[in-house]
Amino acid sequence: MIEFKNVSKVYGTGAPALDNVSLRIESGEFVFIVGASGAGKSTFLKLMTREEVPTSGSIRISERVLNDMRRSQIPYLRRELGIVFQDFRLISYMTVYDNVAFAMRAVGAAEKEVRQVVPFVLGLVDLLQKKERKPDELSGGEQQRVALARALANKPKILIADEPTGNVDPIMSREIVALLSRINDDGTTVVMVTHEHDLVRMFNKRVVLLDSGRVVSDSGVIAAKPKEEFCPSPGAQALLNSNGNRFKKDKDNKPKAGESQ
Amino acid sequence: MRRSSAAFLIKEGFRNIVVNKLMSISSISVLFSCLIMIGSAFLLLVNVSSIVEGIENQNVIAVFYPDGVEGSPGDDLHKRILALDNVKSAEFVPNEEAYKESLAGAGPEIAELLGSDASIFPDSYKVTITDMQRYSETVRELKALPGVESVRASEVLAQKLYNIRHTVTLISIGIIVLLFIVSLFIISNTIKITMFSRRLEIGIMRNVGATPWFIRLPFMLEGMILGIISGMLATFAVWGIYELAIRALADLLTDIGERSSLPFSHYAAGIFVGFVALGIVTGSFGSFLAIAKYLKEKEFAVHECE
Repeated sequence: MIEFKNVSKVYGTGAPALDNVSLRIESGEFVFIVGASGAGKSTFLKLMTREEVPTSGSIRISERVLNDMRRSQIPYLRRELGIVFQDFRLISYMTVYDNVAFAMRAVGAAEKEVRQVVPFVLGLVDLLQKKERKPDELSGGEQQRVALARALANKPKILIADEPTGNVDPIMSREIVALLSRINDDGTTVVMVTHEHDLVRMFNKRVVLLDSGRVVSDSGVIAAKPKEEFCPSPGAQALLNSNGNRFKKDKDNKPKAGESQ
Repeated sequence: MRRSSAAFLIKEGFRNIVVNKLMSISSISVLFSCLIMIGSAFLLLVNVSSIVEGIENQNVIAVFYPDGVEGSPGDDLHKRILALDNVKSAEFVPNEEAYKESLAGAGPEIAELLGSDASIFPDSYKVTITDMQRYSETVRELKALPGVESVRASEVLAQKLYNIRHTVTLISIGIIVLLFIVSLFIISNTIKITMFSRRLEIGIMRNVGATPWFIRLPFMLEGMILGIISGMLATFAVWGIYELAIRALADLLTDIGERSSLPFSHYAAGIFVGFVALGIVTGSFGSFLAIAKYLKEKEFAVHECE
């Protein structure tokens, strides 16, 4: 479970990057966080990974309250999160197998466990046959799948995908989200940040729209604020318009039953 | 720590050295040079101290007592001299021995003058002291002892010798400390560059939840390995340089006194252990400083490992 309660984040003396955000993501949910550049998506993820601390409000992930978390506990929080980035971040001189194994070895996993888990997660992303290849011998989509396998290697409870389809073609983008969806079916919470509206429309998942640091809609709802208070940016407005019936009013601010695939 | 984790950390440490071959070679070279200078300063210090100590030992204080008193080892005066806290030894020198020593150091003309009568030389006590800095004070104390008629001492020479030893010690320690600090910076800089080239791996380690110590250890190990290699190479280099130097300065050393230079073998084990220990300390501490700063600057950044 991920819970943001009245969370605001202000960098320096500028405008808030997140402004009084309240959001609850239940275990096992799949949530798209969408918004234009500068909407606060990155700050949202930085707060989740405890890279940043909120200026006000509180954040909880499972039983951990991130605000007053001791620094020594941060690595253990991260072990519950799997993170996938837009730019893959694979180590070029390591094979596919070693890239995935590196994530396990870095947290002190036993070699026996590495030998069991790495082939399993590579099988999940359908890359077991390419385990001896180097990243530059793979396509963009395959590299992202390796990154995904690496994020899964330590059996995270929550998978965070930060624009994972930003560097791959549309077909591969769909495949990657489908893969995330399958991982979600197995019980892993997935939080995917993206600005690809078309891709979001293809999957019947909960969508949280951020604009100027606010949650302006959750699964199509402009719920938190009265209409006159909310003035979406052109990018957010376009997204609202393009998503048609996906953005419906939801008083509980929660995903509706039957929305998951 | 699990055996597999230790193996991973050691492998990463060696990988860092291999991946940054040029940087590793250059830091070994500079650290090696620093250690050679540290070793040379140390050997200079021990040799100068040894030579000065030899001269100091010859610069004894002679304590005379009045005619008619029969001196002997263990008599009251001898005990009183030995009771002074800065006195290292007090040797009874009968006049025959003083006569023989004078004859040995004199030319034929002086020998003729001295004749064969040893009684012209008085009996005395030959006193050596522990702390040369308190030379004058000890001479005063000796003069003040009951039963002492006169004291012969070369305070000016003692002061000069003390100054030489003191200056050489200070300069050598200064050089050693300075070069130690330089070594720390060199290792620290190498590790900074290594970390920069390995920022992707560090970023991934942070993302997946590696503890700061787990991230640090391979870099500290890298610094230690660089230090150990430099230390071993520097021991052999200092040995070679020392042997060449004592061969070149052999005549000069003979002229200074009968003493020859100290053999390297006396210090070889100490220098080897010292260099390797210094390498390990500078390597691990230099790395620790570098990575502590790096981790603090980047703290918990997940999204900025490029």
